[in-house]
Amino acid sequence: MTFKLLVAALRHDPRRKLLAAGVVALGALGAAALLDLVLGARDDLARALDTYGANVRVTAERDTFAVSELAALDRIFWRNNLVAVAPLYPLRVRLGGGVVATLVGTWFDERLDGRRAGLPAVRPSLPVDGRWPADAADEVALGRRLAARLGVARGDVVVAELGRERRELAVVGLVGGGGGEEDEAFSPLAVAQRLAGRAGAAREAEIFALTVPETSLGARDPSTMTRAEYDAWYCTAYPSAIAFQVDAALPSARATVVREVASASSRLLRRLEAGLLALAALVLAAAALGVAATLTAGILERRGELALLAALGGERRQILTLYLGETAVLGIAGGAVGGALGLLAARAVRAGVLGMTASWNGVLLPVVVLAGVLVALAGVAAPLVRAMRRPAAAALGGL
Amino acid sequence: MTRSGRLRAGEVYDALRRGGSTADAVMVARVLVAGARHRPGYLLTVFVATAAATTALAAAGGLGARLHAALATGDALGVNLVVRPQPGGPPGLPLGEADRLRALPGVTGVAPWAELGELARPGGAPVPLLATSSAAAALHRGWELAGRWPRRGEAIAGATSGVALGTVVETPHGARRVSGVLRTGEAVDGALVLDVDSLGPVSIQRFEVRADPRRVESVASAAADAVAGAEATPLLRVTATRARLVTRLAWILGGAGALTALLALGTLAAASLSQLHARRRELALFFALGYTRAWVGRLLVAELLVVGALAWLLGAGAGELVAGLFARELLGAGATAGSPLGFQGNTHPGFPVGWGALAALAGAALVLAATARLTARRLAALEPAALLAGQ
Repeated sequence: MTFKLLVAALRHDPRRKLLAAGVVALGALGAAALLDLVLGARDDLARALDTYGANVRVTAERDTFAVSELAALDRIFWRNNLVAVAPLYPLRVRLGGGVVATLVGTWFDERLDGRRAGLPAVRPSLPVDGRWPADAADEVALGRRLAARLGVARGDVVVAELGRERRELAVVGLVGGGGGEEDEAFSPLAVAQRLAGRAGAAREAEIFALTVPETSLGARDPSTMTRAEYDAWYCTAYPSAIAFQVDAALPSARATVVREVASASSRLLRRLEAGLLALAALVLAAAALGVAATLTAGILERRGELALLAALGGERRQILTLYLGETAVLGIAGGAVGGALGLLAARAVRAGVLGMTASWNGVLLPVVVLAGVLVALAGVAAPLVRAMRRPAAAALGGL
Repeated sequence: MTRSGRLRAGEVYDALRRGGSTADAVMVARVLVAGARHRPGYLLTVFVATAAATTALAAAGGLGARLHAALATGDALGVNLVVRPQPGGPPGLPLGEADRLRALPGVTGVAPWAELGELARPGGAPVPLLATSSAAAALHRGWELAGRWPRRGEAIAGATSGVALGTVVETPHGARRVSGVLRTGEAVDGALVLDVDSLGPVSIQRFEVRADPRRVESVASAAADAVAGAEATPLLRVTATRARLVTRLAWILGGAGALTALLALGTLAAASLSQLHARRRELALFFALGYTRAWVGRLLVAELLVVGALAWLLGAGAGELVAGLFARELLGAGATAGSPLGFQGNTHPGFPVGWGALAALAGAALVLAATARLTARRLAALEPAALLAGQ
């Protein structure tokens, strides 16, 4: 009987029902789009921090490690979070016949299991006037200050000497950026390996990984954690957890978190994440209030109808079920349509305008539908109860 | 004025268009008061919806502005300027130049670094010997020091230097006891670090400077002018990261703001339309009494404006308050210092209203304009006789 009444109620006055569902849909649309944007913003901002520098540093356990060991990075749990990697072979060499400086052998444009690999990938903010050396050529990019000390410019040739080894390197770029790199030289890894007489070796590596802000759990020594804590820590993209897994994957090297980078990222991301979530919560609360206000007015207007049902012998429970059921159906319909449209819109905006990754956050849809139903029910519950308290005769008489 | 004290429809229309005289305002006020008494639900719905929308806009704008300001001026990224000897000049700078750099406007921290050669270790790789001041620990906030910063006769050892806490190490500057172990994850982990103030005259290879992020270029220029034989270069990885984050955040906040405005617009338009539907018989009565559609339209707009203005005041204030509270909790005290409503720190220079309140005003105006337009359209479609007959 209640079901029949519910179907009849939904069929009656479709314009009003459409308006109510439309209001919920609108709220759900905004809520879904906003939540999607805020959740996506965290990853986007974490990715934007790659210009700040590598957050995991690998150093050889002894003198050097085999570069081929880096292939093991593709087997760690957080492999998809490793955005960029570069092996480094720093050597103190004599350049131009007189000046002793650090020459860093590295990759410039390589790929490691589909991942960007090389110095420009791990230090993307490093500006080069000219170009980076080609990985297979005898070329060098000199730090701006080092080039000034040597008195050389782009297009010149500079000789690098270490012991009896000697290489003539064409200067193809000048490196700036204000950091220590301005006093160093950068050449292909093979050049440094030949100068050192260590084919296939590297002394360090830099890795940029997408991480989440470190918490008190992340800062703890894993050996002091319980099994449950360890699992939670291991399966969270904390810088310490990623460094731990990198360390375990490389038998001849040690991986450590670059604390200044990780700490700054944590502080920034924690603040931004909290701020954006607060923003979303505020806006959603206000939207819910607006939706509830609109639906409340609708129920107040239907006091006569309620009174008629009561006068015809309808029980309080039946009437409540009928109206709340009707509202729930409208909430589900509005929430589903609005939520889906909102997610689609957010996906388009994230990919098209903001240039973020256009992933589909489908898990948000049921959350938004549930929120739509709850908001709609909250909007009608109080005025419904109030309307039912009014004597039927008074309501029907328009008193 | 005719018809038992009522204004003619045309007069009201003209008066509303002109901005209205005192008598017109009284008339609108009377209609509003009577409306509030007999059908409070309508005005309350519009009031709540507008206030909620305005609160959301003001809070979003206010919090966004604070978030943006905290990122733009914050010190989370550390050292952003390096002062070094000019290439071709002397290899080091005097330690005393640190005071000159500290005195420059916009400089918040200076850490000198001296490279003192290497310590040979029996059976191990040589350990680089460095010297700096305790300002370095303050500038590099992620660094972890187990123990304490060295005093006279002490040193700190990098975590991978192989020198343990409490060990006494012979250096060219005398015997030093290791008072702390420094863990950074960077090359300095392999070094032994002395306190630069405990040494005699020493040559400084670089000064690390933390400058106000908004004026790094001008501080760099002033630093190069202040220290003879020095060049000052902004650290691009820091300035570029800051600029990138600020731009990304501006886009994200802009997107969130646009969504908020859409949400507010839609909610309020829906609330007003549903109320218009509920009031169709009352409006039909106005038409039957001879009032024109334009007059009724203006009356509705005036109602919306009055209720909307009150709701804006409440919503803008509440939104700023909420944004201030959230910002204080989330971003620290620096982001919210100022007036009780938190306007300071997120205002346009010389304009004493918060960005949030401004966004809310723009949003509310947009919403009311859209609602008035929708209202006018719907009114044009009403048939008074049919409505009064209950159809």
